[in-house]
Amino acid sequence: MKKILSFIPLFVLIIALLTSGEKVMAQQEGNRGNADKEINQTKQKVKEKTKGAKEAVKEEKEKVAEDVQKDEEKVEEAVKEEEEKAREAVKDEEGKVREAVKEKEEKVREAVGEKREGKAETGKIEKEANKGKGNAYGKNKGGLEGRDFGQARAEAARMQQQEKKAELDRTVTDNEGKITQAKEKIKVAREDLEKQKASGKVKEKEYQERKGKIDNAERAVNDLEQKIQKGKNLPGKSE
Amino acid sequence: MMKKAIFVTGVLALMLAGCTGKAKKEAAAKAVETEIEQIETVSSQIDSTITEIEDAALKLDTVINEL
Repeated sequence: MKKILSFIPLFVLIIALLTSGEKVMAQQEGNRGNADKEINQTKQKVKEKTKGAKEAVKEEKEKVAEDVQKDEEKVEEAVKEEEEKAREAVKDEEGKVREAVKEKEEKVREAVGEKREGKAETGKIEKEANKGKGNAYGKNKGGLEGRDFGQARAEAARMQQQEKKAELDRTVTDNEGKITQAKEKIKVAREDLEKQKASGKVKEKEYQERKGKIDNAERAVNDLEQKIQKGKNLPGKSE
Repeated sequence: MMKKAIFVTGVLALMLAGCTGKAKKEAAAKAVETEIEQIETVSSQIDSTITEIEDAALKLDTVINEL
């Protein structure tokens, strides 16, 4: 019994030690849990912020893409309108020229027919006409005498000139549309380049290269404009 | 004498009329030739201008595609 009683304080001491150890462990676990919670919260916050930033970037990209698409659509519409106008103008001009040429051809044919009937026998004239169409000016004149032959040649030259004028008009109109289109492209390219330079996306060397190309394109536009102006100012040109 | 004078005058008048007609025809032919030359010159200018415009347009296409 005495032995058992002597062990009691030892038991009490052991129990006290165990209890205090559990408390310390619980406290430590509690602290760890708090730290984990804080870390998790911070991680979540970081994740949310990253998500937000990504969404903002996405939205920005979408906006830029939409703007670019809108610009492109505008340019395409402008170009289409210009092309349609040019086509209509060319059609009108072609119609006018064809009518004029037909009228002149008729007149020449009538004049030639009258002269032929009045001046020589039909059989002989046909033979001569078959032999000498389009030959040398002075000798064989397709049944026409000197003066009439000259008039016919002048008429043919005028008709040829009319056709060339119509072709020139067509070329001028087509290329005016091309100039409008090119100017739009140059404008867009220049704006893009400047934006990229401002945001630091383009290095100086690349910037200079692209700027050089844009300047080159601008020079080509000016050159074409000058040539078109020259075509408009030709002496034989009616418009 | 009077008859001779009238005859000579008549012959001279005929010759003059003949020469004038020929000269008129030649002048008209020359005018037509000149007109044809002018028209052909303008036609050739138009041709060369069309070629220049087409060349410039081709060059523009190339540089625009490089942008």
